Amino acid sequence: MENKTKIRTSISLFIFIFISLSCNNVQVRNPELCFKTNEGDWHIKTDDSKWIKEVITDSEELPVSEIIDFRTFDYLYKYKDDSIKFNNTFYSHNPSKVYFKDKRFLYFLVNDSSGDALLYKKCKSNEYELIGGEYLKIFPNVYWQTKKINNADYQTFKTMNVSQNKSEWEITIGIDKNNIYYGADIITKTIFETLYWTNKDSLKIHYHY
Amino acid sequence: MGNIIKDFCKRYDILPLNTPVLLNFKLDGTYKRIGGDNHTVTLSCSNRSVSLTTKKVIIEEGWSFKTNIQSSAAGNATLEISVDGTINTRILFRFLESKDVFKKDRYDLLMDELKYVAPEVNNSPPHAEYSGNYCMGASERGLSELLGDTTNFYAVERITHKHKNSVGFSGKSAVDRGKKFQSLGYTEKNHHFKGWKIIHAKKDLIYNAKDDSEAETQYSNVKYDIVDFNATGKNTLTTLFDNDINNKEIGYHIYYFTVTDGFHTLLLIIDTLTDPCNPKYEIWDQHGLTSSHGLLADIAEGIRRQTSWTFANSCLNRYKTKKTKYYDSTDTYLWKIKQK
Repeated sequence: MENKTKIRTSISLFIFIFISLSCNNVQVRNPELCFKTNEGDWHIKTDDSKWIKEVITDSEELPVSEIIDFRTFDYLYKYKDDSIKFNNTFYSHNPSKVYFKDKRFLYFLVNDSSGDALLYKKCKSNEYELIGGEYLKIFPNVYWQTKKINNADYQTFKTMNVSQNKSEWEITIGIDKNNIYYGADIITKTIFETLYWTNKDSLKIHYHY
Repeated sequence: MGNIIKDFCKRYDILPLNTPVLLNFKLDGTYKRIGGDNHTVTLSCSNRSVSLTTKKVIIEEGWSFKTNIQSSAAGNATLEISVDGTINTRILFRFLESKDVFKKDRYDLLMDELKYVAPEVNNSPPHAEYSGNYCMGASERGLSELLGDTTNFYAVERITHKHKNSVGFSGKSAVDRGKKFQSLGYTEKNHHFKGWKIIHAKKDLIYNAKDDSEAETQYSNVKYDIVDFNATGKNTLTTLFDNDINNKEIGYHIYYFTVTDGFHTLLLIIDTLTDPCNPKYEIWDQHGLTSSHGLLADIAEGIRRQTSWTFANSCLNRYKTKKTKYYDSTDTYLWKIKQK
């Protein structure tokens, strides 16, 4: 009698699992990021626990479920090929949480002035180039931490890592044919030399010093 | 009839008050897919302050079961587990509320502040509040949140970056601030650790460089191995932390500490709550999580890394200011923080 009960329970469980898997249960690459509410709405949950319901595209705001492919959506650094391109140990310990991608698009997470989190569909997932630190190229622009760098020269823009006083970490700076950049801002050569240590010979290779 | 097997380690012997802790058990034996017998397992505790979420399960041999245990009062409690009406196991738990062991809600406030400060420090350009050397500021802002004290610790409003009080660091070192916290009753104990050995051959690579550029290159080469432990240092440091956290309930232990005799200030967090059988540590500074984090068993190595790069940094600064006749002390000072 007990065995019959067990067999019946096992069959019921198998049928339940089969129905669950075949009835539109979306597989999610990162369940910490993507949530479905009891009402059936999808949300993206940021690292600082903000909930995003819509993605901002060029022309409109659309529910996340209409744009994002949850099976492939994740932080950019979680993709092995991209994580290497951050090329600075700091980001292995303190990963960047502003860039995301799925199989189709790259996304920027931006906090607006009131502290709300906004998710932008930025370009196709084969149209960006991560060039070191949080610097990223999308033709014809260069970005740092999602901020567009004004007047950056797309063609010659490169990055390099430099050390700084009283910090364990190197910092990734930007260099193009015209300027040196700290984050998204231009810094003068004098300030650069005051703040950072670098082998000047290697700097010469990148910058007209 | 199988015995009850505890699927948790000795660190569960001492538990925090008012915190549900999940205990895993198994009924010894091998699960028979067909023809196994059911056994009735009951869990009880005579201490009325203790609550259990599971009081009875009907299981077969080889099956697991679990219960949350929680107590509203300090003291001892014996969990009694019976199988088919016969007492099988008695487990003694001690419930404690130590002032130097923090619960998750306080830890979350600390982490929230450190995670707020780090991007501000790393920002381009940083707000004036964050533009200087911010290690002492970041550490104290974390402690201010942890302890809920915005009067005695450096504390700053978010968004506006306005100071919440007149605490400043002019003319003060982290050692001065640690002593101040001690005098205010916010420290359980303090440690002065000297068990380091400077690798002079590596120090001299910086000191004997031909110019600043070479000294900077040598700094990068030696930063993580210019300081080692002396013969007993690693053991002493490991034991120091073991002694601090053993015989305490599971939770978070927080240290304010400074390496290379005040050169850099950091916070050390030991977490015995998330996975009590595999406790972990993390060291944070103004930039975020440092490279020193991992299993508690490796904590001495983590502190050595922070001591090493900071000592190398101090050697480089001495080289640049032509003060290489001497070198800085590598002493470490730690204050174990407690709630008053």
